Amino acid sequence: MTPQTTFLIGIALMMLSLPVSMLGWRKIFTLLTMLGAGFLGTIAILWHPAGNTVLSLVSFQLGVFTVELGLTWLSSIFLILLSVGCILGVAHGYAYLKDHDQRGLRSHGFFLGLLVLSLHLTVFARDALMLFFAWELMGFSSFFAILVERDEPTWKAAKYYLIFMQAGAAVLLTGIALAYSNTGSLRFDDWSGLPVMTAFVLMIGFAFKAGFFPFHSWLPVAHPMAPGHVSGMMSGLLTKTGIYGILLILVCFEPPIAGLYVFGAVALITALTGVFHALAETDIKRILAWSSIENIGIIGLGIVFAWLGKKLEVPAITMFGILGALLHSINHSLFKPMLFYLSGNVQHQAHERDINRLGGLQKRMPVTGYLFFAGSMAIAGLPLMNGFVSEFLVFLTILKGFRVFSVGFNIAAIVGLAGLAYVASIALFAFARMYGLAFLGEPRTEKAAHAKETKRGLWTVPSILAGLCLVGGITGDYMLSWLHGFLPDSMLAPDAEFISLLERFQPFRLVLVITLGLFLALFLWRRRKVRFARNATWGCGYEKPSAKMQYTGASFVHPVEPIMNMFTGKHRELDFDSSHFPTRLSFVREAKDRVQKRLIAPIVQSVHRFLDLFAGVQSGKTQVYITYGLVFLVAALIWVIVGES
Amino acid sequence: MTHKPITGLTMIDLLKARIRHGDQAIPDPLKTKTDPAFPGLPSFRKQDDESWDRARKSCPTGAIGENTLDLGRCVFCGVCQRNFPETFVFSNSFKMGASRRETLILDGTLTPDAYVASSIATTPDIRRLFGRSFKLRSVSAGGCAACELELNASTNVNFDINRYGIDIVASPRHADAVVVTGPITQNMAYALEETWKAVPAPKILILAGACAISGGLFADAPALQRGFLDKVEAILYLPGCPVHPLTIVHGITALIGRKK
Amino acid sequence: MNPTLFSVPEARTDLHKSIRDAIGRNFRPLAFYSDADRSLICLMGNDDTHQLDLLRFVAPEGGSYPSLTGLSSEFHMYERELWEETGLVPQSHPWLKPVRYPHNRPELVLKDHPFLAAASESMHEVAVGPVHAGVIEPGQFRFLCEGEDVHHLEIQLGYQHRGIRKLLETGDIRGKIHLAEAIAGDTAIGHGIAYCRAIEALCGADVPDAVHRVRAIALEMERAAMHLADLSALAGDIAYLTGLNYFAAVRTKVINLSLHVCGSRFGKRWLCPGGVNYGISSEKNRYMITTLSTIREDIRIMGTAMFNDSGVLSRFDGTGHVDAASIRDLHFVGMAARSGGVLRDGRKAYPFAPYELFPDSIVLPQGDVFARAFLRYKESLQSIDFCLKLLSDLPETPACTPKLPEPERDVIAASIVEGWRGEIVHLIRTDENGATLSYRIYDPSFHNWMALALAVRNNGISDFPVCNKSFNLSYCGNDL
Repeated sequence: MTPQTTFLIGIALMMLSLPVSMLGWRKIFTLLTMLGAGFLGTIAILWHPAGNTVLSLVSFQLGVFTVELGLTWLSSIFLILLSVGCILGVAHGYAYLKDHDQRGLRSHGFFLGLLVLSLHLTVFARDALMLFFAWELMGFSSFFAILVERDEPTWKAAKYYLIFMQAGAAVLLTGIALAYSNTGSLRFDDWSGLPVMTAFVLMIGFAFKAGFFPFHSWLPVAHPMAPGHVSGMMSGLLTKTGIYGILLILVCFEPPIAGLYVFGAVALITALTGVFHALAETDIKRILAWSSIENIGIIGLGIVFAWLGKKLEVPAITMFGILGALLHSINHSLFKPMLFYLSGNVQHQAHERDINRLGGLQKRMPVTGYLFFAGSMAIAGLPLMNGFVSEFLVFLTILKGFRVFSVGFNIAAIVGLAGLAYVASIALFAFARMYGLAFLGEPRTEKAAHAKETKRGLWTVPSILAGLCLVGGITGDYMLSWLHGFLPDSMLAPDAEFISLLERFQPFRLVLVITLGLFLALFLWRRRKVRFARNATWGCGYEKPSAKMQYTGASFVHPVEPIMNMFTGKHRELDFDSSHFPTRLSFVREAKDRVQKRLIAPIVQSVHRFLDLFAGVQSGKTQVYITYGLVFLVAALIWVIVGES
Repeated sequence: MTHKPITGLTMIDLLKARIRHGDQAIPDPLKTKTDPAFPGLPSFRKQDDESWDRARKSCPTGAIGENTLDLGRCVFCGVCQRNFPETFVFSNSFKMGASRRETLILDGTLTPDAYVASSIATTPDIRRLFGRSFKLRSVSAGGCAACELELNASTNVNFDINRYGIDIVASPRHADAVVVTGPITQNMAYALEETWKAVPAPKILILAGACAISGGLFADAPALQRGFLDKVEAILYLPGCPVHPLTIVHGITALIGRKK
Repeated sequence: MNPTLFSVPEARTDLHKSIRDAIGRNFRPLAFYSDADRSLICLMGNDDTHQLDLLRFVAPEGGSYPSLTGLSSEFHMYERELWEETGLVPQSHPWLKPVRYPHNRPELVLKDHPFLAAASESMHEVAVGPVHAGVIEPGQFRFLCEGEDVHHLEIQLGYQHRGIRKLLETGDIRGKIHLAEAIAGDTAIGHGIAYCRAIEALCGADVPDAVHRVRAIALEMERAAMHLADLSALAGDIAYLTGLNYFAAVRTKVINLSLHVCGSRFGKRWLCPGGVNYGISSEKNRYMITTLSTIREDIRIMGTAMFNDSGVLSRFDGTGHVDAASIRDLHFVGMAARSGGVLRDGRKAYPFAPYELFPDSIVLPQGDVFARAFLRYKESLQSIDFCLKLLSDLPETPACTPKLPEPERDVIAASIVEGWRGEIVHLIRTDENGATLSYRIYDPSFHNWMALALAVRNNGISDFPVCNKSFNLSYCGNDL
């Protein structure tokens, strides 16, 4: 076996899965897709190229362009991330749709397969043409993959998402065109030394997909409407291609220090906006979507400090930063899909996503509950789980900055550290809120009261992910050593630095394992020794307690509301006749995304209005949209080619 | 709305107060003597049937029986004592608690010392479980709130029952015992049962005050529901109307074997 | 002047007109209820002219009548109670809910109390009670909260309802002092005096001046003791531990003085109709003067420290505010009114003998927790000063336990006593044989619970304990 044959087998399996899906053989489709992703991922594990070399896999001629597919150190890392994510995501999708109405599932499988294929192609692409093709394919296939439920809100959300993706693609295309005119080539290998402006445009194009502020508003719109496995894959994997794209560009040019500070500010604002919205929202999937935005911000901070380290010529900061950013990307691609899959399960069983209408699920869905708890621990960056390792690494990166004397950098480090600490604490608060309100206490509605645990199939994949998060948390230093092996010299610091980093994690693991062991032993011992009596929660002896006597989403965040309102705006309506003998009292509090409301929504509105001019061509049928997409792609290609000649 | 401070020397004022306060705790609540006016453990000597009968009729709670005086019903109102000072003598001994309801029905044969020596029985189990830490949950179920005030007072700076490891806790989940005050009203019956259920075993029931023990002044009230006491037997009865903090301190410490 | 015996007046039909007239003449309702013969009885009083007016109305026909609360919301509690006891519906009463779920109305189910509920998923309710975290009487408190802020508090009581009125109405009314003392154990003297004075009016007993003085001393000692207990509790709630312990110790001194005189720390068994069971000998008088003088200095020193402490003031100032308009509208009485700028003091409005000597009542304008705490401090000093003043020229007073004549027939006796919370009103009606037809009790808490509910609005829920203790209302006095 060579990497080339493995690649071809992988691609072939994936291609084969598409017609299989149309035939309705869902099991075979799933197996083929998983196998295909497995073959492709194996390449990165077995043959990932060292240093700055490229592992060339396939190249062919398309018109005047040579299309090349291959792997670098960077794409290898993201390939592994995507393969693992796709294998588990597709497997979960199979379980998730098992009992679903069969109508529309064939085409859903088709687009899901296409999404997996396009995700992989994105990181294999060695030139902008292939990348853009994969990019558009990804946008369209994910758009259709969202549309399992074909109701009005899903349609609206999917269209919003599509418009957003196309806007991002347009910016990206502009960037590619600029880069082509600057360098005369579409191959990334020829792009070193890109002008700042071009790189800037390209990065914005990628930022759309990653979900950086202010291009984040599609996530909380699209994710809740997609079925569990699709929202998980979109949030965990799709956004990572944006991160990959940004890193791809960053290695191509010399970012100016001011630009890095701007990027840092954007990353911090992204993280803060994300985390405060996650705190304000009451829809589980929207909370998770906003938390993805927060995590993208954290990854962004790691990247910024890595490149700031380069500027200051402190290789340790660079190494810490890039390791932190990459590890957090990987970790996020594990715990975020897991939480999305689980929230899909909750929606599946309780037919409700609003934490104000859930409650008491831990007793009704214990496995889902424990896994959700583990996922919340991971995402909140608590020790024991993998999120802690990568967030801690980003902290260490910034802390390293205090050893350097440079006023600008020190200020950035102080702001970054304080901001990150704040983000981390609010994330803990937000996930304590979500888990506590949805899973603890008493059910707030009949729907929640009648929720039952899912079939085993629906928590198999989340359990595997939880296991991976736990392993990643306990063996953080091994993960780092492994990741360290990928880095090229330009990202490396002297070995002593890396060893000192590992030494920080080793005692941690020891303490963790011992604590965990003791805890488990104590638990088992108590279980044997102590007789447990079960009784209703103490309610002051009141005879008729109700589920209203529990914290709500708004109540929980009330103490931090003044700060939260800076990011989410204050949307509060109180209707209370505060007479001596009041007869009505009602109160509504909602979080609204200001960027979405003030900036994006009007634009999307006008796009909608513009499209309405062509009301005749807008039939709302799937095939028609596919045709549009293809027409758009062809038009884009023609534009690029004409520009060249 | 803001109140203007009277002087500016807050710290000095506080120190003055602190110094004046000094040490207010009763050094040993089990050995201290109450005011001679305090009507405590009574003794009686039947003089003649007629005056006994008159005393019996005048008793507002029917505590005076054929030949007995029921401490569980007595509200220490002093009617018999004032009218028949030869027959009824109330000592100022506060050590009136008993482990069994029958013990409270005095027949005049026991001297106060003999009563105190035998009235409260502790067991090795109680001593082992609660001897060094005993947490109470109070349930106020009717009554007049005087017993509740005295129960509170037993934890105050003077009586300081906490010095024995005894405390009143906020939740029955943390409690070892339930202290009931008041005659147990219909409206409170459910909450009392819930509280008892919410206390983890092993648990103890304590009845404080005449109302809780026998219904007291409210024994004939129309809105009582004392069924709970048929199901659960108390192992400490603390007489009084209201029960004196020292009676509480003595009774509980004796129960958990802290009496020396 | 305090005329307290009324012959049963003729039943009138002009309910609204008479009440409106009385209110117009600056009278306020001290009692309003349906008597055993179903006629409505209303005791109105004018604080300034010290007049009392007893009105009687025929029972409204058809089971309902236009609510008096519409005329003046001072009646809202009376009408709730009236509806609860008789089923008589005051039409368009804004808040017609049971008061105490009495034993003789099984169709009113305590657990189904119609609480105001928030029509909102974002708002949560906090339900506290009936078993509270402290050693307190039972009650259900329902807070409607936006996060930590309280928009509305509703208080549902009745857990302490034991049917004490029924016990008072059965048997010889003259032998019920023990029960009267157990209406509210923390106000044993207040309710005891109210009972004694009603009985004395009913039986036409002549009470020596010295007895009145002893009673006034007992009443003021009780006031001082309970104010000190609440100051201690308030200090405890804001973790001002010196105040907690100091005031508790001073309170112990006061109630032990009561123990020294009568054998009960709460003054139970001190009083009897027609006299007092325990007088004050000159020896005891001397002891009391010395002790009370020390106590006065104790209070002054601790109060100076506490009310100058910025930490204390920052917790008390502006917390739990009740405005004067609400106090008047909803008929809040006693210290709850006096701490909000409204002078309502039964000691001055309807005084008995020694209170002619009583100095002016203390009134504070603020209406917040600070005012209620500071008023307690000031009043405890004032009460002790008044005790010292009375003791200084009190002759050797022995016990005085006269046998009272038979109660008058077919009359209504009323008594008003300013207990430490506020005015206590007792009314007794006898039938043509002199047997008790009805015994009505109005504890100040009956009106003032609503003040607590208003005070908590727009406060943090964590300020509820200080608000609650600043009033320290009686559950058993309300539930009866």
